[in-house]
Amino acid sequence: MFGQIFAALVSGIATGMPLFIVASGLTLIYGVMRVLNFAHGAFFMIGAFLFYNVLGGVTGSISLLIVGLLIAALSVGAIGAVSEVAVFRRLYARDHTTTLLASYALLLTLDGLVQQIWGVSPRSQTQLPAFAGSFQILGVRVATYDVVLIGVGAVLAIGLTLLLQRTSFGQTTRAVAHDQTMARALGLHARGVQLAVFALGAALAGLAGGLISPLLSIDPSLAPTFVVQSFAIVIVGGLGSMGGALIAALLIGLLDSFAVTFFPGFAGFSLYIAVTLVLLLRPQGIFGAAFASREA
Amino acid sequence: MKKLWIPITGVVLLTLSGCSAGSSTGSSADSTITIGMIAPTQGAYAEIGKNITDGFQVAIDEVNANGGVAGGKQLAMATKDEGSSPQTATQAARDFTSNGVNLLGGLFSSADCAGVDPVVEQSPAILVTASCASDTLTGGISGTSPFKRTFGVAVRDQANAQALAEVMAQKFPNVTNYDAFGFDYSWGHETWQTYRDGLTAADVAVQVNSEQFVPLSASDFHSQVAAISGGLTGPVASRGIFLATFGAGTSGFLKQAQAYDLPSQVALIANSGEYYNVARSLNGQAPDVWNSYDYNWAAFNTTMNTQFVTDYGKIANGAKPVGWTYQGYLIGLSYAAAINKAGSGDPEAVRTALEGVSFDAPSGSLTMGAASHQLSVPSVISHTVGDSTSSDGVKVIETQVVPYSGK
Amino acid sequence: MTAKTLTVSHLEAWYGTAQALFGIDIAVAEREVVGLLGRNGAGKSTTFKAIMGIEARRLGTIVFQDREISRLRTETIARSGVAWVPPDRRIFPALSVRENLALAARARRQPLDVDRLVDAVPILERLLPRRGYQLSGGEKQAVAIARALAGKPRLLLLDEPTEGLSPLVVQQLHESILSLPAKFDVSIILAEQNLQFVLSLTSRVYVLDTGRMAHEGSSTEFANSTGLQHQLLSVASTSDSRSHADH
Repeated sequence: MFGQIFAALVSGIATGMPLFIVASGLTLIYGVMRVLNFAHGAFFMIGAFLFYNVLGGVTGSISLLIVGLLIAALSVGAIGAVSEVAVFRRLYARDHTTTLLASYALLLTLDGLVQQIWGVSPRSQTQLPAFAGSFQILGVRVATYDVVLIGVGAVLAIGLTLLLQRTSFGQTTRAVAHDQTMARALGLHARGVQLAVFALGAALAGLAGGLISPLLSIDPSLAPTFVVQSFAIVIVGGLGSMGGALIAALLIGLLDSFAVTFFPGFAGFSLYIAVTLVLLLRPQGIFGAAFASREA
Repeated sequence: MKKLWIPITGVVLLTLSGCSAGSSTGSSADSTITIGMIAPTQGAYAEIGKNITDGFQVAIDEVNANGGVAGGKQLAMATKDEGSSPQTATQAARDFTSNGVNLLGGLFSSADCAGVDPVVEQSPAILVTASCASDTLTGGISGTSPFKRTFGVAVRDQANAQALAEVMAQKFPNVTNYDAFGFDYSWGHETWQTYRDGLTAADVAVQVNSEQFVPLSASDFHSQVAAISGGLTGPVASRGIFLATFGAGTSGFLKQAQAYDLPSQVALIANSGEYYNVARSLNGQAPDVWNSYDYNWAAFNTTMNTQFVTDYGKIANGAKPVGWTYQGYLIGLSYAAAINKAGSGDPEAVRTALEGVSFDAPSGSLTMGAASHQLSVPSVISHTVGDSTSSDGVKVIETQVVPYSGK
Repeated sequence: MTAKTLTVSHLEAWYGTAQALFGIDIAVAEREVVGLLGRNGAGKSTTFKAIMGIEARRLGTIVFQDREISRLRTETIARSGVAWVPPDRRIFPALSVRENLALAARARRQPLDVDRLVDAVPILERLLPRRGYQLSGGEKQAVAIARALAGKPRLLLLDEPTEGLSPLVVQQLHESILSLPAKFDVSIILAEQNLQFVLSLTSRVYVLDTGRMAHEGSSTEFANSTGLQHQLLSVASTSDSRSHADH
């Protein structure tokens, strides 16, 4: 029994951390621009494809892995920046429905582009030998790469929090997020901040795509899957809340792994049960308002 | 800002409409008979759709090169996107018939066929489906098709699972501790049930450790893999994993299972459903898997199979055909045989001709059941493992053909 | 009159299709404090927003320190040295007071001189570590003015600074504003409903009426003309220093 609980705990965190890495960019973009970006899943997918392309399907060494991740993140960040300038910047003043529709249109467009560029065959990225396989801890088998992902997720969570709370970029970002007009009236380059945040959010999606690609079939079906899970996390955590996204991702991961272990019948629905419960009991999400108005 | 909406709206409409450019009008000139193929061209199942239409193309190219059908007429293909819902698939069928294309083929999803079959039934068209092989569409073991105007070339889903159970009961009689992982819809549940019942009927004392069912669209199976890994019991030689999945579901599971070293902790991974394309996508790192589906390129030592594999390789950079390619190919052969028998492309004549038509195929002679409307395709059990030195990165260790059960 | 800091000529502004300002002219000299009066909806806030390039579409010329700014973006106008204190203060709630000030200083590439700001707005000192959402109305007003000054602007647009403040706080504010032109080398346009407050701080007043400039003259003259006050502001006498809360 203890073994099962411990295993579910470890696997829950291992499930949740990659979800956080994907959702972090989504919640960042929502927090600053109030844009629910459906195209985030496409950013994720492009990250996975680019990572595959850079490494040619084989992860040979840790330095290649890092180079691949950097290229995936930077390229997807650039795509995000172009999307911001070409599409979203013109729509910030409009209502949510308009931006939502535009982001959906972008998702479909990027989906189509991915299919044009990479075709329809699924790809596979091999695991770095050092990160392949598993080990035993307290009688529970733990995948080595899960530990890597948990580490990367933790570093990202801390890094993003420090960036938003402790740096002048973070101050400016929070100011723009809360009151773009006042920020501009103080002389802050709100447009530059929005561009940077959008690019950063997209880059996080690209990074996530590269990081998680060794565990997935890299094909055009990736985009919708991750967008649904990320939206659920952002809703549960509170729109725009970075801390909320981390906790929601871990909660959803744990809920999933405990459901799978102890109530397999509910496993497929646990995500939706969580979203429904949160919407009923705490519509603003676990962490309430966006990080701009209170502490992150 | 309004200006921006023009391109965006354009892109949305273009995407939603399925970019059906390329489909011909279908107004068949006397020398050409056009068959309208409906298959996914975009999204998650685009690869399957491409396999189906490529297989069909190989068939009609071969037929045309050998003098065509019904006294020298050429076969041609028009395509429309099946989309991702019965609505889009039905619309594609309606578009074909309203353009005078009444010989239809293709369709990947049983749910889409459930929408299209009744529509075709009320139309002048006929339909030969690719992988719509659920019992409600084929008539199941009753042997009588519920649709007069629809035919099928795929092995019944449950026949594949049954065949796998029979062979695994022989090869792995000691594997009794099963964990099942499948898609959470009727196909996934029924496939596992059939396999399990098949093992029991063959006197294997099956013990079910766990059953994990996941949404068709899911790709993250951390929790399921961890739960299976943590719940393994008994000696390794008694452990088996059954996968009622295909495509990204199978590859995602296998990759995540490898992260947990799961394949080395069980004696058998068995899978019913198309798998070769998954094994190929794993870059030579696919684990050892036993699979049952309609086809494996190495299963048939016939001239016709060699020809099919060679012809497909020419349009696919040397890749081997998979089950879906084979289904598309059989649709082409079925139509060619029936049109020859009927002497024309008239839908009613072709419909009558299809019932009971026999023709040579890579697996030997096949017959389209007069009442069942099912082609007598055998199941192929294939044992494969990833191997970067083999073609497609997949080593076919062994294949076994399980003949058509007659139903 | 010495060198002009700001010259607004024929300024017109629209919200959508509705015209809100009809060709107004304002001139402010270096270190001068002028009043901008008018009833609710007369166009005082719109004038400030038009100068800052916020929301409204505008026509006319706005020359600030010899530079035409009416076609510039809000952030460029702010960086050129115009600071705006809106009536709702708009302190960033998630940021500490110090961060609010640092942001404004950095936006104009100025070092943050907290001592100087505390000297002008004494209550600032104990507020520095607090977050924006923890401040009272009077504290927010003090921080808003300090934040505007942190970027060392040459022109301060103060919109309804006394709104909702207690008389004691209004008194402190009065002293702060009185000291600003000399301490910070800044000109001020003070838009207010509180007539007494304006007249005691300014040398000249402009009075807006439904988007048009209805009167311009010395504060002393306006203080003595109960007729003008009644006509333009619906004020019974000069001693009636109405607070905004009455409206």
